[in-house]
Amino acid sequence: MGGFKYAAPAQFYPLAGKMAPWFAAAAAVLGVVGLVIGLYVAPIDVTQKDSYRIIFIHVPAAWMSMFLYVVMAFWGALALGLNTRLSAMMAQAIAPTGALMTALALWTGAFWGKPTWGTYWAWDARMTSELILLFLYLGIIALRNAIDDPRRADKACGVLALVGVINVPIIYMSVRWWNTLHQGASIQAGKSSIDAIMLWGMLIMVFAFWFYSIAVILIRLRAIMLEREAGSAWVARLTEGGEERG
Amino acid sequence: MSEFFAMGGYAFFIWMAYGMAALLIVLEIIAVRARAKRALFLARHSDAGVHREAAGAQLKEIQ
Repeated sequence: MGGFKYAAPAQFYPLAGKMAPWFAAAAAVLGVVGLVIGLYVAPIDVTQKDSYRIIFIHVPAAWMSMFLYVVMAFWGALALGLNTRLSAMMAQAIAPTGALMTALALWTGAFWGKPTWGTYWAWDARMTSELILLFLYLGIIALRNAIDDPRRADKACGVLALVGVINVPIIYMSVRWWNTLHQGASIQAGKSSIDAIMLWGMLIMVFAFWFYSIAVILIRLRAIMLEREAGSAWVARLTEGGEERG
Repeated sequence: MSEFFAMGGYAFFIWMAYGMAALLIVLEIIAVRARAKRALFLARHSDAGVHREAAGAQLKEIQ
């Protein structure tokens, strides 16, 4: 009984289930508002014309790709240091969505780069380091799939995630450290170089991407909890109580 | 309306970018829901399996 009370997955499973729909709904509402602003309300950019509208998904995806990596590495490190199950599962749940955001940042960047710079791809610092981020995510996912014992996989993935975290500040600073093809940041505290409605559209899309990521990660986390703890007392209790047995 | 979709001549780039975003998000939602459903199903069945094994072991002890 005491073991059940302090088992983190047992407590977090229902909480995650309650939270996910709210984050999903918030993401849907903000996503629609953000799309209307980004594709319709916001005026065209003087130099980039309509092609700049890709910014409204490119920037949120790129931010999420880096942010999710740091959060994943944080939970991975916590799992390494404290040997906690839930934090390892958090890290495991984040990786696929992080990989998706990275792929999306690269893809949307390519289709922004072509009309803006005349090329889909260049081996410049920003793009190359973002591509390395994608390989890190895919490497972590592949490493987990290659190791049968989940606790050993947690450790290996935690170490790889921690080593790779050095890449995140490199991505972030790349447009300042190197003379890249990629443009500098449009948004900086206090002196953003873009119009107010464009800024609002982008911030709304950032929150939409954020809430989407939280919702989908919470649902994946619930699945992972069941996958890894099937047969434990709390899962047995969960599957016995309420719903009919399959 | 057609003017909106034309995106000032940048339709190809805009809709390739937004289309892939929509596609990836829809695919991830389908995949994660399927995984959640499968995990719940397997949790119920592995649970039943444990009970069966336990029942089998008990049966052997008696015999």
